[in-house]
Amino acid sequence: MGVLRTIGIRALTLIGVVIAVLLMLVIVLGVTGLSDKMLKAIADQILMEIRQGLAREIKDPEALKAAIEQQRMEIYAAFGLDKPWYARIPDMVVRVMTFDLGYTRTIKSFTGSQRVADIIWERLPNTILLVTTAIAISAVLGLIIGVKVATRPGSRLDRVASYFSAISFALPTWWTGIIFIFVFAFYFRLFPFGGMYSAPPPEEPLARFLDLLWHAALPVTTLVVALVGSWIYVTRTIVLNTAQEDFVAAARAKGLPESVVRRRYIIRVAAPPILTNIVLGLAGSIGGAIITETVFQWPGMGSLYYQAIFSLEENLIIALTFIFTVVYVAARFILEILYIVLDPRVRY
Amino acid sequence: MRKIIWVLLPVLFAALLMASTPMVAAQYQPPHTNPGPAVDRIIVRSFDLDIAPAALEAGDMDYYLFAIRAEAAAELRDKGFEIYSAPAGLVDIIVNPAPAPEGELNPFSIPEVRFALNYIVDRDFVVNEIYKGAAAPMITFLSSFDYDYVTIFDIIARYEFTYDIDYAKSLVEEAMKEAGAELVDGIWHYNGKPIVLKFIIRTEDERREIGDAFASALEQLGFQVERLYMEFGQAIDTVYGTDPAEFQWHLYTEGWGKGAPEKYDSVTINQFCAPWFGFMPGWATEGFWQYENPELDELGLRIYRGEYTDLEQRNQLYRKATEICILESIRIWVATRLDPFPASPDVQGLTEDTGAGLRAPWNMREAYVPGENELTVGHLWVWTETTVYNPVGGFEDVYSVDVWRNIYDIAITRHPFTGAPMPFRATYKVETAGPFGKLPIPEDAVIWDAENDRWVPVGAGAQATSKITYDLSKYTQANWHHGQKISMADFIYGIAQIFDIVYDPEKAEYESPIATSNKPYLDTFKGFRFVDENTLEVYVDYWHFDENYIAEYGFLRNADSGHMPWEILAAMDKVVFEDRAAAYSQETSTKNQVPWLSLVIEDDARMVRDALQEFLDTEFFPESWFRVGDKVWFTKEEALQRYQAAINWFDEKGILVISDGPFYLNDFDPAAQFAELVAFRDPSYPFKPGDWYFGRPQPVEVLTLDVEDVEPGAEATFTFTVSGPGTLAAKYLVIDPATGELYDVGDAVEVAPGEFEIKLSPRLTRSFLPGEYKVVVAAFSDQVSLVGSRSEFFEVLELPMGVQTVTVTTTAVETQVVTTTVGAQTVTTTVTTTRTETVETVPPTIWAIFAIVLIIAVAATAFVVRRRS
Repeated sequence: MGVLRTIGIRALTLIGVVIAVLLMLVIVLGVTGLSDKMLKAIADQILMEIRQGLAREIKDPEALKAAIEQQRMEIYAAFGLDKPWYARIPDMVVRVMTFDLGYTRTIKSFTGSQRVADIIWERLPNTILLVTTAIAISAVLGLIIGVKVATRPGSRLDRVASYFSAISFALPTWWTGIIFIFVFAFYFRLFPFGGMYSAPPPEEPLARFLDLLWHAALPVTTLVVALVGSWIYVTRTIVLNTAQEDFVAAARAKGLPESVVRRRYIIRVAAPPILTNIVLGLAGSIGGAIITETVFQWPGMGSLYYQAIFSLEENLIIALTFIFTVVYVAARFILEILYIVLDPRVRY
Repeated sequence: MRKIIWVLLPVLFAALLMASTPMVAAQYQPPHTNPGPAVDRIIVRSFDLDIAPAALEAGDMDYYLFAIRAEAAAELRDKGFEIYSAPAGLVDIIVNPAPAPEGELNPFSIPEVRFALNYIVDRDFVVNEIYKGAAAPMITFLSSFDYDYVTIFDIIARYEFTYDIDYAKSLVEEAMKEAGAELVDGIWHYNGKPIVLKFIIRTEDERREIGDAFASALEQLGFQVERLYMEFGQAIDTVYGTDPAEFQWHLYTEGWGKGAPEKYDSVTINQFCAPWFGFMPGWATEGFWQYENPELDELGLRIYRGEYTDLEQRNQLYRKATEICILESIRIWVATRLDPFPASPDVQGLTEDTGAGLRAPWNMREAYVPGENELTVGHLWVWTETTVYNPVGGFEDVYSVDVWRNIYDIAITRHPFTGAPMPFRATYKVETAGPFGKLPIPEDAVIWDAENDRWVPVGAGAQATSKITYDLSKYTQANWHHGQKISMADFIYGIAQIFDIVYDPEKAEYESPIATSNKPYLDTFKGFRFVDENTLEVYVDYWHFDENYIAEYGFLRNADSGHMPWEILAAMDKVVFEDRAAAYSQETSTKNQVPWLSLVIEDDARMVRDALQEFLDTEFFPESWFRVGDKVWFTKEEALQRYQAAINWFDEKGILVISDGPFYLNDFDPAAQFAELVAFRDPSYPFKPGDWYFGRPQPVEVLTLDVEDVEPGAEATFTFTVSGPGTLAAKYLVIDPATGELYDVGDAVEVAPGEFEIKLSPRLTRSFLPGEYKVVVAAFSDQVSLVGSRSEFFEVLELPMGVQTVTVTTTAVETQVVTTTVGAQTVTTTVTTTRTETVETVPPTIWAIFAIVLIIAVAATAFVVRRRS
């Protein structure tokens, strides 16, 4: 089977994944009645509040009733509840697949736009700055330290790295974030405790950018501390397992220099699973980090997704799911190609 | 005994809360006497809830506008920080009273079973263990934080709503057996099947623990409980979205936000008791089974519509409705949640508003830290998606309102301790012919003709219930933030604008959410007279026995709406209605996929600025809007000057929030979650620091209560002393703690300032049997809505031999109406006691014993004398 044919089949499979995910979303939101129930609950809660408010002004019960009924119709229409789910949700999915992401009901960008595309484009750089940076740093540190300790199993460095990995892995991000804020923001007063900018934010663009970096330092560090342990541990394990293979022993027996053995026989073989982790980690990073974003009041994609689900913004949920799936599929596709490049045996 | 504890607990709690910090009014020294607020600049920024206490300790924030957790508040208090509390939410258990299908039994369709549930709520546990003290118990829909609590004080006392499972069990057993149910192995069965109750328990907050405790108590009563743990959406949909007769739920842990204090409630009682309002099971949804109670509807509607002649009649209606509501027990009340707001001890000038806590508008105006001219005020958020600054359909969330309140000056506000309307920047005079009469409206009064965009005379023969004359000189003699003089034209445009949105068919169709909700209110406005630059007359079909309420009702655009220069309103109208490029309301914004106009969002504000520029370029002037009779209240030249000033404001700040209050909004950055308020020191601004400082409410406390032993048939006098602000008054009640029977209720007499006396008449004391009784006194003031209370036991002595006493049984009806006037407030108490007097003779026990001893002594002496002889 030729390489192109292999890649083509992979591409088709991954497109199928996108369609399947969106189909599942339609089922979860629409067929189960979840969306209608949630939207109706939110709308009815709003109506209850409106009724309480209007009752203080309108003293004619019939007029009050009529006003509430009118409000109910308006709100139901605004929520899309005047149409059944099958007239609403599949249409949204089709539009999203043509990259027409539509408008939200309440969620807005900081510039006031309710276009889903504007909202996502505004949040995405924040998440890349925070989460993607943190994952990239963790991956690099994990690779360097993981490979190093894997080549010296049982050494003091290996033991220290293993303990650190375990601690890092066990640290809840929320708790680490809070501790870091108390120590570095309130005690040593080295970093701000949260937010993206100082109050008031600097006017000048460069100063504003530097202010942004200063605010990103603590949340990025928090994420790195919480993530790097697993990267070290995974890399160490993969490399160590590869290093114990017979072909590595054979290479050493042939008298090849250790650097060549490490580079050609260990790292290259161990590379695909490590690469898988890195690529999928980076791709997944655009989903944001809900907890860290919340603790540090960082408006990223994680908190956006959370907000979208909490307020049942169907358009935004569908758009975000679509984008996350497309990014994942794209990452998988790149990986498939890399596997073929890295390992000539890989043909399906 | 049981009756009293729950009457006292809330008031004692409130007293404790208030007493924990002494009144600091006398200590507040305004930092200066310049116009405007105490500080020059306020930074409002966002702090996460978990970070806020540490930020306060680190000095990064001076006070926090969002309620922190109870544990964090306790820790901060221990460290010397100030905690200000405000009642924030109500928790109850609502039951489904729908009748079960044939062959089944819904226990809650039986009023006696529902009533018994009041005794299975361990409110002490809820307040102290679940809420860690940051709550106050409730046994009906009002708590001691509500002014009307005094109105129903003795009714509450009559019910024994303490935690008493055994008593509840006895009530349930009697009612269930009568309904045909039987207790098999401790479980109630009907037609051979166990009765299973579906209990929806919310999981996001303390209601989970409350629900679990209540479910356990239900199980002790013999019910099988299916606990259904749900979050918001699922729970709301199941309870309010399904027919009660489907029985997808039997009980639900309901939660409500608590609004601002209301001196004379007309909504809460309808909301929580009267089916017509739509908040009772069935929810007035067509096709659903409906809980019905015509008597409650009638009483509720009379209170709601104001169909009474005076306060006394209103209170009688209120008391009757409350009593029926308690007996119906559709809602079992649990607690009022108190929100703690922390502040640095260095901050001076804070007022503890009993409705809004630190969020009240007084605080940013008056707060300062000595030696500093800037404050940092924290909030959970400064900007969210629903934070919209537009005075027509915006200001829908606390984050915008809490900032906006300090940027504009309301005309009539609510007192922070009583909830009564009071003048703020406008003063007023009210004339009324209500509730049944009408006043003539002068022929030169006008009303807005939305079809032709002009003011038209109301004509001859027009009438209205009330007339309010507003003195607006504190506005019209001052400037807007952009330096332009406030004019009567601003009020004229503001009134016309809302009438136009409601009555202009095109505008009403586009902004129907605003039009439909305002129309019934505007329909009651019958005419306006713009008398001079300072005076506005309003004619309205509205009556209330308290004139302040009429004045508040009649001031159109009093709350968050209005309060912007007319040119901003006109430019927004162009953007919304002519260009259709934005919407005032969220619903219209969503429907038309246009921005929900917000003047702090640069793109939105720029649209308004462009409209102003167009006005300027085309020399647009809406003369017909300002022409009233022969007079035009504004000139084109003035208008052009206004446009330019507003454009300059935007060009300088990038936002267009211009108003009349003590601060102007200088900067707003949604991404940075930051707002900057700068003091408006214009010499024309009428208020200065100290004008609106109230401090903490001084509690009303009953300091002493001296009782004496009571001799049946003799007059008894108890005395007590009360401390508190303003004019004080007190009520009392006498009960038998053993049986819970109410013997007497009335008003104590003030014999000297702060000293009160209760006299129990000989007729009353004659009805007492020997033993222990209890007197409860409740003191209140015209200046604070908190009630102080105290109780004491007293002994009724045994009667001498031969004295007659009276045994009370319940066969006849006796009604007593007591009315007390305290300052502006009148409290009416109506006691209906059923009693029959039966004369009995007290057995001559002491005399008999004495006689027997005497006889024995004589006999013994005779015997001894005889033996010796």
